[in-house]
Amino acid sequence: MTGRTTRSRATAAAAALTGCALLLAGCGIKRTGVIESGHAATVKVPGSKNAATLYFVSKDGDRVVPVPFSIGTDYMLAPVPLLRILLDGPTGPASAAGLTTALPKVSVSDADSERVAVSKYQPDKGITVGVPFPVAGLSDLARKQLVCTFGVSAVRDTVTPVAIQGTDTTLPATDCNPRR
Amino acid sequence: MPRVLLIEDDPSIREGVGLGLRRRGHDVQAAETGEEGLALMATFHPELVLLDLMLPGINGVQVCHRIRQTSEVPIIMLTARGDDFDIVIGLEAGADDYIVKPARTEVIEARIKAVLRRLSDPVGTRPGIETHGELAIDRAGLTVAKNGERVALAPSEIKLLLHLSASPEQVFSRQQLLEYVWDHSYHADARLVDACVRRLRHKIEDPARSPRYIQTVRGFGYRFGPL
Amino acid sequence: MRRIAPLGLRTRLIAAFLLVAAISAGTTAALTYQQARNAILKQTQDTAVSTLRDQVEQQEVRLPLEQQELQRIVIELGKRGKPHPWIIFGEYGGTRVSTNPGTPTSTVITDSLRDRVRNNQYAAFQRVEDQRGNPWLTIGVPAVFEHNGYTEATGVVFYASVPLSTEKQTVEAMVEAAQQGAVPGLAIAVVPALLAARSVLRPVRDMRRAAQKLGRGRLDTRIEVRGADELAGLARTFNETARALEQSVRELQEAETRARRFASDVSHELRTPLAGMLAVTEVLDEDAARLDADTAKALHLVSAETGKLAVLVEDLMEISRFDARAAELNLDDVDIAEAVRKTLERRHWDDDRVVTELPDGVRARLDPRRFDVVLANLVGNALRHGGAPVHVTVSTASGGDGERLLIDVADSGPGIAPEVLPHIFDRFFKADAARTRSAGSGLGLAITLENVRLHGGTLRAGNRPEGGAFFTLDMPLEARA
Repeated sequence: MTGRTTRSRATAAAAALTGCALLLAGCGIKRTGVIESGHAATVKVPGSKNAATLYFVSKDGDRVVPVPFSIGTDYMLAPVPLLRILLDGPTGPASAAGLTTALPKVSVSDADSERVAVSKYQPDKGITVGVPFPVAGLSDLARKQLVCTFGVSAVRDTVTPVAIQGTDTTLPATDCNPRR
Repeated sequence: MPRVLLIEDDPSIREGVGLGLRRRGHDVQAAETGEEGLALMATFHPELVLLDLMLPGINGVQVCHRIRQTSEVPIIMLTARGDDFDIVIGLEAGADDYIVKPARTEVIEARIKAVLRRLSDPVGTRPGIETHGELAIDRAGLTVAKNGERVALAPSEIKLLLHLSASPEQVFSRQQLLEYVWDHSYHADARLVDACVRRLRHKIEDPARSPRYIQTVRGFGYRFGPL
Repeated sequence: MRRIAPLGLRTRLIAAFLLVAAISAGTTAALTYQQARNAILKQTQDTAVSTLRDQVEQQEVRLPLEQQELQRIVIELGKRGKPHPWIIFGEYGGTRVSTNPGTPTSTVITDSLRDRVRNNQYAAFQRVEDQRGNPWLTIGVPAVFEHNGYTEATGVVFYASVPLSTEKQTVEAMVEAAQQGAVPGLAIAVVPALLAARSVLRPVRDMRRAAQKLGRGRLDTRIEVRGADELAGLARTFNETARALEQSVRELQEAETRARRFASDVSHELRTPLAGMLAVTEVLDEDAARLDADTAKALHLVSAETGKLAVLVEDLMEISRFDARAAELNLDDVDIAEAVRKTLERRHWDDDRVVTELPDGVRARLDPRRFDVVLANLVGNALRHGGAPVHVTVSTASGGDGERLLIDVADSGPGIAPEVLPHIFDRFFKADAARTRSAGSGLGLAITLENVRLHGGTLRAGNRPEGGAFFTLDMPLEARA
């Protein structure tokens, strides 16, 4: 037997033992990364049934959060009141919960009704919402408030992309994604 | 000069030894076989027999036995060293000495003289008959009687007995006995002594008892008595 | 250049057996353990996630959510932790509450979990450890609601942190069980390992014994061939080798025996004519004086050479007897000092050429004739090849097996050449190549050595530091025939 084979055999034995030791060393409960596990919890939100959903900026100011708004069953709020309510900003409990709005504080008079309009829903284009103020300078959150509020609540049973037509320009159609 | 009977089957040794001894004045008769030798015993009356142990027909040991039945003539065996077994048997059969072949004539003659030599009387011993127990030893007449009956002893036997009994109770080593009795060099064959002692004991000791006259001293040799 | 100390075959076999047993037991235990552990954790995790989800789904969330309302829901959820108690955290925007009023924010919920569940409509969990190393399961479930056929995030996320101490104990118990099972398992594995080693080692041991016997000269040694494995093949090969060896040795021995018998026969045949010739050499010597000078010279030559031939033949015969183991010891009790003195006297060496140192009263049991030959050869050799004065020293010593007789013969010559020393006892070895014939037969020291061996002794030759050769004879004081 030469020294080399002895050494290689010793190495093999050492490797086998090390492997064994490593297997046994993986004992206990190890930490893991984040693992997704199933869907989210669907909760009941009172008053959300057939209600419009307004989106306001969360207390942290980093996102928009939904707030159901209903004035009665099976009543579809028209675009003008919807925009008016949205532009009024959070009131009552919503305000108490620290929600804010990023939209400019403008009151929508009846005279603006012509301007405030929701185009007819077209499945391939979505809708276009007309507002009586300039939109080019709106923040992301403000645009989201508009897109989500109208995208979710303007057309029954559908979530639609929304283009915004302001007094100055028209923003292209986007989907509501409250988190971004 | 003594009459020597040479019994030897090999012609070259027979011729050579015969020639050498005759030149030294010995009267030598040679025999080729044991039978021839035994026949010459009756007519030649030798004073000494030189006997080869390896003989065709009846062998030397048997010849030795036959001679000892009737005669106490000195017998010297001629033998080759290494034939150890034969030496012992020849000595037991009654031979007095042996010579290892090959040997120069002067060696053979020296042996012959030694065997024929009378023991010189130790200083201070009285002539006449000594008695030791049942043994009567006549140093002058070289005879030994046990309970008044003469015991026939071969020359080596009587010489050994005389030497030992001259200094009763003195221990002699085998090598010393070989020197004094046989005229051998110091480093000779101790079996010569042992064989002679056995033969002597057979003739003078009581076979039923342990030896009285020739006693063994373990690790040293032999002594005469104490009785 | 072996780095590992050589272990016995048995040790290695058992070690290998145990190693294999340990690896397989370890691997099995580890895999089983991993599977079991993962199953336990999965069960716990899945149960916890679905429980939290179920519990959240039973809640009404009034949007927008006020802090008191969130606190109420969180406490409500906190009561329903099953099977483990859990700590619930609720987050809605910047509002954070928990079942533990002091700490509205968990220390174990990581930002990566928070990011994942806040931005997706999926539940997620993560296993973490707190500062003390205890494992925790953290679960995040975002609350969504259906609106207008569209699943909408409420912005509320519920978290639960579940201590995994029970699972940890279970897992540790499993490890412990694996360890406690493995050690006796390995101990039990020693038994079949020993049996296997025995079955392998028995033929090996047999073979070793057989090889030892063979080495001691028992050339008829054979191994029983069992089975048909590699060891049986080895045994068969061993037997064939032994048979071949026995055959060659027998042939060699027969050849040597024939050669020795031939030497013996030749000397035997030479002896008879020599006996005749030697008897008449004197006649030649005596009568030569009366012949003419050349004839006389020739006759002297024949006479002298006949004598030498007789010595040579005698020595050859003696060696033959040793070879044939026919040499016998005729033991007698002698006084060593006297024996040495007589040997020297007989050869007329009792002058100042030989200096003796003889203790009185040392008696030995030996063969006097052979002892004489030994001593005469040693002293004669010392006088011939060495130089006077020769010192002969006799002493005794008590060895392991009784009293020893030591005789030292040292000369004052030039000593023995180193290249000659190993061959000094060889037959017919000539120390001086130019001198083709020495005074002796050339067998003197060989015969001396054989005679000493016959007495159960040893003979050594060497050179003294102060110059001159020495021979040391060491033999039992009481030789046994």
